[in-house]
Amino acid sequence: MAKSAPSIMKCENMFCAGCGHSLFDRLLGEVLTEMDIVGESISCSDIGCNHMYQYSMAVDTVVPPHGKMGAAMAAMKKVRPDKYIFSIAGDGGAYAIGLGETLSAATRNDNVTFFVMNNTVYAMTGGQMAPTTMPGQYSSSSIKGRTAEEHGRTFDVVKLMQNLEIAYLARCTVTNAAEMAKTKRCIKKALEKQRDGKGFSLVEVLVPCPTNWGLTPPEAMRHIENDLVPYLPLGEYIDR
Amino acid sequence: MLNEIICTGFGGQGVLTAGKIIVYAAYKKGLKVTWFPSYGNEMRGGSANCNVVLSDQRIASPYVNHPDTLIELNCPAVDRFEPAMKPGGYFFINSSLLDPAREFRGDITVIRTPVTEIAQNLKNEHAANICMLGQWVRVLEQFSKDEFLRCMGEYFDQLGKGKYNARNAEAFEAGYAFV
Amino acid sequence: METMLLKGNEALAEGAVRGGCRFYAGYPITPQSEILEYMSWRQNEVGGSFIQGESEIASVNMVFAATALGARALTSSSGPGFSLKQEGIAYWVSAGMPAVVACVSRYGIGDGFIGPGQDNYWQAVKGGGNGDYHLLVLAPNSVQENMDMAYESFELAEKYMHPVLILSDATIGQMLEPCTAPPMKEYDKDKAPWALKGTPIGQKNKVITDMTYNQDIDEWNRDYIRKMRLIMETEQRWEEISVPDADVVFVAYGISSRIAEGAVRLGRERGLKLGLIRPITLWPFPRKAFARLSDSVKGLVTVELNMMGQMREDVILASHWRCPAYSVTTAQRIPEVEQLVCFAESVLNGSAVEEEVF
Repeated sequence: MAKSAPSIMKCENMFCAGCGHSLFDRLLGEVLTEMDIVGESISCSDIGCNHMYQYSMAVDTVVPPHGKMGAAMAAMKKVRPDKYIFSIAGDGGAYAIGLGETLSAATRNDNVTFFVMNNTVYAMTGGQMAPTTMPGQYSSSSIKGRTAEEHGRTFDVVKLMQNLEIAYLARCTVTNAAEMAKTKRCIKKALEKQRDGKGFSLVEVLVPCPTNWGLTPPEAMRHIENDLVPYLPLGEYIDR
Repeated sequence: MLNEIICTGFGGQGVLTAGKIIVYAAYKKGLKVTWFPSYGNEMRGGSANCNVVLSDQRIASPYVNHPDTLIELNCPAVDRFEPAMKPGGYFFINSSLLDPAREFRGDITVIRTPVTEIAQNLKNEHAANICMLGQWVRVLEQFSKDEFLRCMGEYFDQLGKGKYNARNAEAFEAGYAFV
Repeated sequence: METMLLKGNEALAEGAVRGGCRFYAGYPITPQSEILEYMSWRQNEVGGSFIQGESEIASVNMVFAATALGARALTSSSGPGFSLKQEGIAYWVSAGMPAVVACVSRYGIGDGFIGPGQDNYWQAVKGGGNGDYHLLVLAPNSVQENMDMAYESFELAEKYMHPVLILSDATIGQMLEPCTAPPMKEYDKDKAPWALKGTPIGQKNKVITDMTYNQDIDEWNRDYIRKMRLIMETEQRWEEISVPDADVVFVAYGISSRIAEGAVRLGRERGLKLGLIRPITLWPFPRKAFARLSDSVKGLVTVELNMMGQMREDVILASHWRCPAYSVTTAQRIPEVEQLVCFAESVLNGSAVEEEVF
């Protein structure tokens, strides 16, 4: 991470202390600035905690209904094919209510980019269970812990998309400086795929939600490293 | 002048097309026209029909409840539409598929034409609808034969089906010639 | 000016294209699929974009995003597909996006049928999605009006930065009539003041979302209500046929108004003084037409393809019960001209019964 914030970042930051969204937003802001494509970018917001990037990043933004970024970005790219079109989405938006739209954009190989912040819960509404909620994880709608028998299996985007003909699929995290550097490279690569007309790219970022996990910020980071990463391994899964 | 027509038959017999050709010719003549296809559950039963209204005034309803002209290519429709016809109306029937003993109301003119046979004799069985249009033009004299043939050719040209115009004209002439 | 024979749905699509529509997204549903099919090749011809969305929900949100980036964009549907679009349309309203939706009404609740219906009136006119809104609702009754209304719909939407709904129906959509096409309008999406085009560093970026997020909500509410009142005052449209001396006045829109017009003619031939008020805008409802009615009118008769006489409550509000308000409701059946004349006779001889208000 650069020492000073890139000029695309505004001073407001509405995220909770220890939230992973702000770390990601900062990395994306650096990439957009370094690639010098801020003026060539139009973002598509999800609805949820993730949408608060609008208040900290000065980039043109459309906010369609919750989860409908796959559809909205398809249209945005058609109307302005010369622009970088990307979304900062939540796991609930991209994988639950908007899974149809996300998957349709991927199966069409739309030339757009998804950044999905996976914190394993619906954070803004108070920490309810999401498709991504881990086995055994407590949430406000799985108070005795999630089980495959009662609530169904945990969603894994890599298993879903690894056989699709898309340009780029990666999973990364923000738990330490080394991981953040890797995440930044993934962000850049995804946008370069779009620049080169390769098609759909999705970068899933495992981000901490100390507020809803009931953990301190350092504990939340350790939870990702110890519990999430073994189940949802990091890496680049598609790169073509 | 107000002409209310129903064209009816099995799906695939081209009754909707027959109605569209009439509408196109009337439109080219400067008349007000509407064409409306009837569809719905009966589509699954295999029958199709269209309502055609021709008028020299603004047309209110495009629905034909009491036709003055019926163009019919299959039998079930005979029973269904005969009672609704206006007195004095013209009923053009495909006699190839009609029970010869069938009797009709006395206050309508029934014109029997074996259009399926005529079309089969031309080795063009899909053109029974066009044969019937030939008969319709001859009997009602609303269009001259040449005028109608020209419009029909234009209609198919616009659909990119102009290459069939000679075959269609042949079917039309054969239907026209039947007395 | 070109004149051509077109199906109503094709005319609506062509009218939209000539009005500057350069983006279409939709999903197949009878009886509106011709709009989708027509746009699939026509947008290519004019340098626009077409997407067959994976659902009505995807399509309505594609139109939201395309409009946000400056394009004149249309979606269309019918019946349950139109219901699916309601959330998206509410987002158009909240973001002040001048997008256009066409509903080619079919009859029935839930899945329903594919034939014509007018039981979408409440959904179309009273909101449809969540929140305080009406769409600007245009109700064509001919193939020509399908074209003309689609043609002007974008400028109307942009005039108020408010979505427009074209409420057509299965008959108007499926029928062929001659229609004259207006000239192609020039439209530059880069000149749309709201359009997102990317903002360089150092300039103020734009966000297209519920406008109350970026504006004082009381101030926004005030402006919004002022806008709705302005539309109500300035956009009421209707057609009158033989109204000034009429004893019985039909009120009908869309396909029903064609039948009612036939009934007025037939009734007059028989010496009955019948008239017709045809609302052309359903919202704003043409209240002014009713303010001008003569005191000699013995009854207003709405004619609708539904069971509950949905428009009748607007007629009562507009006429303030000055005379009895009857409704002829024929559900999925098209009324017959003769049936309407008979009903008018029953109004004149006092035997007609006013239905309950639902």
